[in-house]
Amino acid sequence: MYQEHEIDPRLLKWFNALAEVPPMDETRQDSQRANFMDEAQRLRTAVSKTTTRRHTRWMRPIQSLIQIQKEQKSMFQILGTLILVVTMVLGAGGITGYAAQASLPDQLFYSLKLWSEETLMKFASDGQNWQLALDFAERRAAEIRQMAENGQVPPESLQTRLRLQVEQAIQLAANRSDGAASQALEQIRLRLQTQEQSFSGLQGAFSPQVEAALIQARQTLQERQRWVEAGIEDPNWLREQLRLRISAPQTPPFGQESGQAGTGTCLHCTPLGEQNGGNPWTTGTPTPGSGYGEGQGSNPWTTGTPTPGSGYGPGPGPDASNTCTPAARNGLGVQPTEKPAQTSGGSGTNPNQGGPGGETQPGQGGSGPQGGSGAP
Amino acid sequence: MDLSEKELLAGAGCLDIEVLGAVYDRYQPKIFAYAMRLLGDECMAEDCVAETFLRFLKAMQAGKGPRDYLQAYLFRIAHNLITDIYRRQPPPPLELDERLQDHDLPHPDVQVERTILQEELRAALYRLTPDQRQVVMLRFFEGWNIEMVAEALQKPASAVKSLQHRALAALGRLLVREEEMEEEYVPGTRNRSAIAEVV
Repeated sequence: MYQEHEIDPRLLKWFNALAEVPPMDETRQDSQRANFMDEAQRLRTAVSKTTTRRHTRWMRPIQSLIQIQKEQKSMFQILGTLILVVTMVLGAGGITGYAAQASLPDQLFYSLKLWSEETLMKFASDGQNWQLALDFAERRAAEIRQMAENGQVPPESLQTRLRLQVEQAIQLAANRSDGAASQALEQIRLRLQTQEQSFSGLQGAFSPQVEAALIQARQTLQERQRWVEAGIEDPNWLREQLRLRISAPQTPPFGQESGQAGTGTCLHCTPLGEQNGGNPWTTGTPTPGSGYGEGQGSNPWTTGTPTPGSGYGPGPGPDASNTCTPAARNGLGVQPTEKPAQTSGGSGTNPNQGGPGGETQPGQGGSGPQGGSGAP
Repeated sequence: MDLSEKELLAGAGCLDIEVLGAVYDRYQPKIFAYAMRLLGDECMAEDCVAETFLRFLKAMQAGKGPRDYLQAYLFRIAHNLITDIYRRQPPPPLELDERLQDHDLPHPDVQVERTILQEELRAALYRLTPDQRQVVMLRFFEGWNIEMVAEALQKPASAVKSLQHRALAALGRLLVREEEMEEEYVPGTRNRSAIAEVV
């Protein structure tokens, strides 16, 4: 209770005026009381719900992940939930990724494996991308061997992927500076050699289709190994050949894959050469003045005016015995920049015109160890 | 049912229907009077009472109700509700006499004077802080001692005394000085907004 002296006497009249207030209307008071008691009864009944909830208590952590709750959670609860979510995501991703890495082309997660490789390549630095491409090429080779051991025929797409990835590795390595390129190419050579030996070491009774696939893969590795060996000696030459290969992707400038030309067994070859004359490096419609087409011989490696003494220009004519470019490097077939005098056109007087083009007979490509050895 | 506050609390904690009824019967008139004094509106005061007891029920069910002082807890709920109402509503007009004169109700002079005093005090209380307002109401209208008010406000007794002192001083400035100004009233020049400067 307060004492009189606590209040300024001048305030008393206001306080006294507010001291008495009318009570609540009795009818409303009864109505409100009834509502209060009903609510109390309802809440009292609702209390028993916790007994049913007790049996589903194990579900609460799961429910808490998907429900928005008004109550504030302790830091440990939030942290625990986060850890659980991260663990589940990473765990599921890790298991899937692991399963994908061990998958073969006919399996479910193989596309995921390829996708992850592509992603890695996108983020690889310039100094490492060639190694990564080579790693992936080795994976393709291992997949081919694995499928062969399982008695499955490796699909053509796998062979193509192997070839492209090896070439990508070579190209990326060759694009480095001369010293670094030589070192990188040397490593590629060694690793391709190892892979090729792995194919040689395969033993077992394979079906003819599997056998053919293994030989094809082995040859792919051997041929690219020779590119690399040539590139180690002269990186500029390799770069030039790769550049030409990119500009005319249907054309194998190294001549090796054209070994079966004329036999009709090599799908990659350009079966032109001395049978039809003209330009063996393209199957498209020749552009006038481009030097391609049915001329009297030409140099497919250049479209410019021949320099006197350069070896380009009118040649001795379509002498079959003098049509091939002697393989100066490791049995590689066509090396026009290396041996311009011998790669010059045949009987044509205009080097920009097509012709029998003896040096352009990929079917009789090099005279080296692999020249004309043909496809399996 | 003549139960102590502790017994009422214990029974209410178990949601005992009879005890809850006793709690309502004992404290409902006080809460209503408290709300009525501050709000001056019967409907709003009834709503405040209903909401106060509903919140009390929910708190008891959730196990978050009062542990020692039931009455202080109920008044704290009501006080918070009234403070919310004050925040939502515009301040009451100060020129009460003119407004009342517009009414055609045949009030006796005494009744009119009393009503004017009530409205003036409400308007002045509105301008106090919520804590000051609660101290004034509980100390001088509900007759609580300092310790009970301190429990309701959850503040130390010394803080309650300080609040009381400042509240009464503010009311004195608002009401008594205003009256003195009115005595010096010159028609056409009165400006009650000066009260705000005093606060």
